[in-house]
Amino acid sequence: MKASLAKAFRVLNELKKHRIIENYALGGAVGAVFYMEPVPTYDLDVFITLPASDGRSSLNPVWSYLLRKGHRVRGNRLNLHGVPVHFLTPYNELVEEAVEEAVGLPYGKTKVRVMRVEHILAQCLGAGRPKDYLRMHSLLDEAEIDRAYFRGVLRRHGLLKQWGGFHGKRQGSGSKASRR
Amino acid sequence: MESVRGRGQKHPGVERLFAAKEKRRRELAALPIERKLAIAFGFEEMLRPIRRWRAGRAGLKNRTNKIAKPLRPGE
Repeated sequence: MKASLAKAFRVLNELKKHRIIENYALGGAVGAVFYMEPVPTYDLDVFITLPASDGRSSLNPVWSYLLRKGHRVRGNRLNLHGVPVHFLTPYNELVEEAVEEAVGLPYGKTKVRVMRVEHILAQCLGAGRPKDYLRMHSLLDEAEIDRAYFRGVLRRHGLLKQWGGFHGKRQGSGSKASRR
Repeated sequence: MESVRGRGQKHPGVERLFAAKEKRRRELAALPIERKLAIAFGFEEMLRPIRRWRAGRAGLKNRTNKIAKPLRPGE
């Protein structure tokens, strides 16, 4: 079967429409690719929030709904139209806020909710792996960042100190942004 | 022979390579999202490869900088 990202995105919108999930947002590498050059990835990281009335944090309803619809499991991912999808629930307040404030971006004729670039940056900063720092450099060079909003995110989630350290090193390394 | 470059100064070839990579990165970033995601997932090959900086040896000058193709999902 030929993989179709557009169809996979439509399934995500359908989940929201049928209230199986409260909201969703693309994050991880795919979220970042909306704002920068492509980087290799193997799956689609979809952060979801579940309807509040249920008080559940289990992904069972999502999986059972999609399995009933004929989607299959491959490894530990659900395969939506040939695209391995990794459903995740927010693991901290930053991710919760990122899902809540995600923006609808066009993918062909489909609209898809993607985390704001400021939230992706803050998550990379929080994770602090080498690949996250590389992603941050690319995003800072290529994406349009709302500086005031980004500062607010950093302040709300206690990342200002880490940002100071990262920004200092970046300026010291003579990166493109620091030359501007 | 004494080097004409100052200490810490990059060889012009290196500068050219960096400039080519930077240009390539901007080109990739400017692609439509459909193509960017197709590349990210390995559904589509990268654009033309970047020509490798000439290493000063005839054997190397025509080689291209091959970028590893990402695995297809499930591979």
